[in-house]
Amino acid sequence: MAGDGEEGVRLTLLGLKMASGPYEEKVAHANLCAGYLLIEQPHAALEHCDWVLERDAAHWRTYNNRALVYLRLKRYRDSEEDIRKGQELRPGSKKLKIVRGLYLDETQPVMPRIEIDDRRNAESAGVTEPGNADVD
Amino acid sequence: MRTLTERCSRASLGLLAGWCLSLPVIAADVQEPSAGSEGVVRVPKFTLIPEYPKIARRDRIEGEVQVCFEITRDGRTRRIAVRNSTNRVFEKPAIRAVRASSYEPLPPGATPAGIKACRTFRFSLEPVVVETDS
Repeated sequence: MAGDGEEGVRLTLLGLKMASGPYEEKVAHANLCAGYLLIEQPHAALEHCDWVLERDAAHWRTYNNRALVYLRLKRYRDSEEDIRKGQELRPGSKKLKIVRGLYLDETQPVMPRIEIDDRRNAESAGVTEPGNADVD
Repeated sequence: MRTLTERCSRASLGLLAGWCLSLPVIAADVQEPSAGSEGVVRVPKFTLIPEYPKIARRDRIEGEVQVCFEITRDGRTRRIAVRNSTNRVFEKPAIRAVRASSYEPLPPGATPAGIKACRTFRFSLEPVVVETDS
């Protein structure tokens, strides 16, 4: 995977040199942001993310990726802010939800707890016949 | 009290499964009787603790599900149905857990099989204290 990432970065850098306009440049920088993040070079990734967002403040994918970069750099407030901006631009995005989950796992880790309570029996629950039987 | 892991211990009012639940499924034996609608006490033989749904954990969702079911003469669960639920994300794990759980069989000649019972699952997330640099 890291090998693929390195190759991707190399090819994207080549592509960037031949970019024919601002749109292609922006795409290349956005991909470099993701690529450098993939190969664990967050500082390099950050430069490209910043480049994109300085020119296009509505690029939610780059907010998503930069939030991950900030997480790697332990810049949690910046990460949270980028997640917030990304979610404003793209409410309901699954990618942003995942990044938010990663952010929360790092900043506010939780332990799942499941309690099973058999005290309330069928009578007290008012059950006479189970409806919506699941199976069997 | 027998458990597959010492970390999953029994509390006085039910089965409390805390941080041991980082594993996908934990099986535990519990001894709390479950009173059926006919008043026959059924003793749980095997209780499967559901997995905390990944999406619920990611999105920090907590909730509660009450599942009602019948207990057959030989201790299996059947006619499983969700009675109350605060969030649908918890329903499948709760149903699966009840389906995989069992009770001690009724002795020969004992009163009727097919007793109805209900079990409530409370899914919660407890903060973990961590040391941070900042």
